[in-house]
Amino acid sequence: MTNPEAHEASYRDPDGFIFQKNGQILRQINPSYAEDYEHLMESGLYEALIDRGLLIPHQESPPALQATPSAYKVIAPEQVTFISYAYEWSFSQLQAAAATSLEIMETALAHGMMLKDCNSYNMQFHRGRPILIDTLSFMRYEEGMLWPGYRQFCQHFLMPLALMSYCDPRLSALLVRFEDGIPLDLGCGLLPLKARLSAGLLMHLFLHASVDRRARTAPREIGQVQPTRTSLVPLVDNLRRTVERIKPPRYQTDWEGYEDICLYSEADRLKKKRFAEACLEAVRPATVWDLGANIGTYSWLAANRGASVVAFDSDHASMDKLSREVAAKEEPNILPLVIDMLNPSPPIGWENAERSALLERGPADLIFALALLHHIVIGANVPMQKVARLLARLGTHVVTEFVPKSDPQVELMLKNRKDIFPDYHQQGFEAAFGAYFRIVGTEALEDSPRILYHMERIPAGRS
Amino acid sequence: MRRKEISNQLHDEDWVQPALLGVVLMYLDPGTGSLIIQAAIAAFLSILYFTKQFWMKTFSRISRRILRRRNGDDDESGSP
Repeated sequence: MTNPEAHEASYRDPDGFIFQKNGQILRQINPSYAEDYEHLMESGLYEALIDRGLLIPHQESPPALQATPSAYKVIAPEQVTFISYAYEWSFSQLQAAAATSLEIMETALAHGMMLKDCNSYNMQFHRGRPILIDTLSFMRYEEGMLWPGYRQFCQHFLMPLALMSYCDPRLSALLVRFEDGIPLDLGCGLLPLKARLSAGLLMHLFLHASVDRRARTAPREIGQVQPTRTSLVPLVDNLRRTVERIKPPRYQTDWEGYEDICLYSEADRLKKKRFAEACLEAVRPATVWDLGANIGTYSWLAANRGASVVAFDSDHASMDKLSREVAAKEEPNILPLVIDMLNPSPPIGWENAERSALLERGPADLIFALALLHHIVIGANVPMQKVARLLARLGTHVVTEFVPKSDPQVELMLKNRKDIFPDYHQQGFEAAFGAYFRIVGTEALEDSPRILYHMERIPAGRS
Repeated sequence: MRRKEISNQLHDEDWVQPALLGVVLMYLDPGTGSLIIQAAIAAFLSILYFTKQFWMKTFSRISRRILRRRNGDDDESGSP
């Protein structure tokens, strides 16, 4: 039965669905899930998961909120501020989400339940930590049962982690194309021979892929498999150790530590920081997007003032580094994501409506776009007017920096190419942005030709 | 045709426990190959796990007995 109120991605599981009412995400539980739900709540599993911050807490809502008359219950989960997807996570984030999924599975097994599915979309970063957002993912477990989520776990978590570690972190982009995780045969074809030296990867990926292939082509042999009475605990334990042992990728990019080698003098660095702080004080934003966040200097400034920050950068190395810092300091307000602003995440899934595009997940109260403009305009030939239009769509306030042609960085960028940017000057910049923004404040740096801007979107923005 | 053969086989030959087919049939197809390899890996790891536990238990029982005997000896020698 499809429900007109259900979220576009919430149609697979007949036990319930999520829907939006009065701006709040609610979850309807259907009668088919009643017994499992009661077991979850009464076995002590719910408390155990909440205590350890593994499952999103919820409250039961009045029945009047139900989306269909057949509802068993409606629950109101704690709201997640920003939804992100595995193809936007750095290695350490995906690894943390994988380990958390297995911890949830272990906890569930100890309470006579298990996860009936295990995909990366059910995990979200909430207050700095991965958390399961699907309360209906649990089913009762009896000894001897196999885990229905095993294949999903391997395709959504283990394979992308192995590919990122052994081949290239950028291969997480395959998850955009393959919505239900990276197919095992595809992944195994890309992994190097040495990945087989890991017993866990050998079993869960390579053997898994080859048995999977044979099961599809030679059904006669399958009938002869006679499993014995087994426990899932050693399997889950082994998966966890396999995940933990996958080493972070070796990064070889120019961006990590970019800020350190950047040509700001100490005075300018301080001036830029003070300017950003003044903007944060004036706007007091609840949500901040830091575009081209690099090592996250300005994300930390905003987070320390209580704003909920999403830090974007196309570079895996810097976002992985920032993720580790955020995790180490248990910072609840920063979510680092690997996003290329030149090609932000598209909407994917059925009817392109299941996982939303990045640009649909805004706007934010304030956008940091510092030391970014020249990379987009000169590095990728995007007209300045289009950049202004995008920023106006993403946020109400923009803190940005104009980097003129006299800047050594821009000089370097133009060194080996034709200068096709006659309008790339301060007046041209102000004219392009003036169509969407009014300038609130501006400040020129001393030892560098760069100019800082704080702009506010004109309410009825001309386009 | 082949798919039908597989599904007949699953029901006829009872290659997995009835619980698996009766209770675990979920809204997602867990994948035939994935179930087979999972059953094999889970069985293999369970054997390792329980063997290890058995030896750990036996070892700790023996060592406890040795310790107790040694402590007992100490007590006897220490008593007047």
